[in-house]
Amino acid sequence: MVFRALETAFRGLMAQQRAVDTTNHNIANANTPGFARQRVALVPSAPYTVPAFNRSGLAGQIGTGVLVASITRIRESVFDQQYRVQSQALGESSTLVDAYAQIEAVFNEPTASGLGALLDRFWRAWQAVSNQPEDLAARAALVQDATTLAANLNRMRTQLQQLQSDAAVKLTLQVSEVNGIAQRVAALNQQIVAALATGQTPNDLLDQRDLLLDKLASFTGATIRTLPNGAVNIYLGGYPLVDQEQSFPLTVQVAGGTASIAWQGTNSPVALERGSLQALLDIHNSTLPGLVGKLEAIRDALANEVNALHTTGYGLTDPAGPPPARPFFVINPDGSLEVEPTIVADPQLVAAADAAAEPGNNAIARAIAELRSKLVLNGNTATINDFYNTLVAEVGGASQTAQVTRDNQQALVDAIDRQRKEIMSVSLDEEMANLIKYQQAYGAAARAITAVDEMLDRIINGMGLVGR
Amino acid sequence: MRVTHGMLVDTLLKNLSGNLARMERVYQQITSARRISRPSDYPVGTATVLRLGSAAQEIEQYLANVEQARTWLDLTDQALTTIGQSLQRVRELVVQAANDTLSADDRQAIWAELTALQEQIATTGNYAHAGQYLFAGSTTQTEPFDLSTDPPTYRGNNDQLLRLIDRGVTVDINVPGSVAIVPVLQAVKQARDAVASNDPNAIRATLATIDAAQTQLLAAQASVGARVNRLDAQRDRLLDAHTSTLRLLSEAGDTDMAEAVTRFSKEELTYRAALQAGARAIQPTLLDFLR
Repeated sequence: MVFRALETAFRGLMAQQRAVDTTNHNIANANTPGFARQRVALVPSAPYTVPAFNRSGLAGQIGTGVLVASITRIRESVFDQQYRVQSQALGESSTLVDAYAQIEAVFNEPTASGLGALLDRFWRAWQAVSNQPEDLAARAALVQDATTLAANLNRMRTQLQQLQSDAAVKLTLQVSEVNGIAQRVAALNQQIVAALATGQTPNDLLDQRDLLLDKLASFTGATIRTLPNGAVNIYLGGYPLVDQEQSFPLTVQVAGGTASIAWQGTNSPVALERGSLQALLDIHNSTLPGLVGKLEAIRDALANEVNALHTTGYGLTDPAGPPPARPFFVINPDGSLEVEPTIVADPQLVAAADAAAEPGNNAIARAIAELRSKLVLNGNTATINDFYNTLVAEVGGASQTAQVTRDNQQALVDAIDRQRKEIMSVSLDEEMANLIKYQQAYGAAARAITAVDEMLDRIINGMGLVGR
Repeated sequence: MRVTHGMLVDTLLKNLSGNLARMERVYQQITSARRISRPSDYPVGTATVLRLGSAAQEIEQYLANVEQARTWLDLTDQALTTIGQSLQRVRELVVQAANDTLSADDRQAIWAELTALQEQIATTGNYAHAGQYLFAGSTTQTEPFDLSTDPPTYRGNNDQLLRLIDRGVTVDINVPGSVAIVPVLQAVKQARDAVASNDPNAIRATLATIDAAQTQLLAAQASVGARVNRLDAQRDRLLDAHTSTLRLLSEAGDTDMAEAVTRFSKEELTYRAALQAGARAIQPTLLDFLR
């Protein structure tokens, strides 16, 4: 029976050893993202009933020590679900915030070099010419201001178009990241199902998979379903992105300036609801084209209105007779605006007059200067300046909304993450206390072995000297 | 509630970065003296700032136009005054020449002076400002009075030169030579011819023409004066509008320094406190106290 005590002590030693190992594992992963602390569940091992015909003289069952029943993750899946739902909205609004920050940088308002200020300078330059139509310096300044205005309008338009192609590139990158996540989840599904089938709990693999699912949430509006065998399926718009051990990759298609996300192979479109992919699609397909369209409306109004007057006028050197019908602005085939090159080369050709050979005649210059207050945009309800100011305010408003949404959503995600961490994150204090607890138990079990050893010594070496 | 060190560090970092972001924003408002650095800071305010900034620019241009128009009218007035003085002298000479006791030689001398006055009047009519002839109508780069003929002929036109002094409001700044100066030159020419004819009655008869020319000249001067008054009133109005626009612009777009500096101090204090408390909160673990 003494040998049985040795066995019991040894079990204790082994169990405490496992507990110390798990504690060490927790400590080592204290800062690992997505890691949930693990606990060793200790249970008494099956008791030993003394076999006897008549057991009345003996106590009942004899304990046989301790066993490690399981090592479990301490984690609350309800919070995981909430975290993922809120992450989708956070991913969407963060993407919008970034995009609008770039758009605001393109507008560069309110500054002395923004398009608003350049429009003002342009109109003022026409008044300066109308004050001294015969003055070449005023004409040269006008041409200069008009060139700067056109260049800035072109720059803004090109930069917004560049942001649009950047969004397409980001979409491709994010989609390949989503595909990578789907692939890894499918691979983890395989390992997890296999491990569970043999009765093990693959805690670290589960953590890895949960972390991937957290990441995926910010990209897409995916729904996740856990199967009884331990695999998770991921669905996008009702179709599987991951089905057990198989993943179905997405692809980005850009046609005619419109981007879409489709299932690779079938090319049928993916119905996304939220997440950064949807935000990028919105920015690419509607926000940026809308802004470019409004800048083009400004460009067209400017060119058409100025030209309509300018073509009826005469430059300083134009002969009498019908007006030379010279435009002031030219819209190039690529959509860029420029000042008519012959006027840039010779500012005398600026048609300030409505009659030939009258250098002091400023009728056209005055009329163009007064375009500043003409309602030419938005169904003839807004001046060019008004329209632009409204556009800037719209961009600012959308950007502010995105920021507020992002901040709120971030606070929500942080709060859920905090609740989650209250349960699953590693406390070093707690682990240290446990370590000492298990260490002491381990020492005690070792001491028990020493005691048994002494008992055996007594039996073997100190008793029954007969026959020696 | 279970709190771990990881959570403490998370909270600390989140609070510090939020704090820094607020501090950075106030700092930017202080150093740029502008409340709005991006449209999203204050979308409606941005539109207001753009609109008022544009309005201020517009008013400044109208003010510049008013100043320029006024300069032109002042010079016109001076020229007309000079011509008026010459015409007054012409009248005096004609009255003198009409005296029956004068000899033909005396009249010859008067004729010579009248000729000189005629040329002086025409030369004054050719006054230019910054390369533009004041009395040429819209042909501002051609000398309006041709001195090679007698009397000097007017080569300009009758066009008005209009300047914008407000939205949709113009003022004409010129007096075409044909209106005020040609009658004067014709009257002087008539007087010279009469003096040359040595006939006191004919000479006396020209006084009526001279008086008529003088009346027209005075009318032109009065109209110039009226326009100067109008410009002065407009300038006062524009200056008022400019001041109030700038005040509104400042209210909408400028940093309230006292408030911003106070806020900055508050943020700085919070930041320092957060740093200090954080540094102490994340330091100790049970590990530090075991053996």
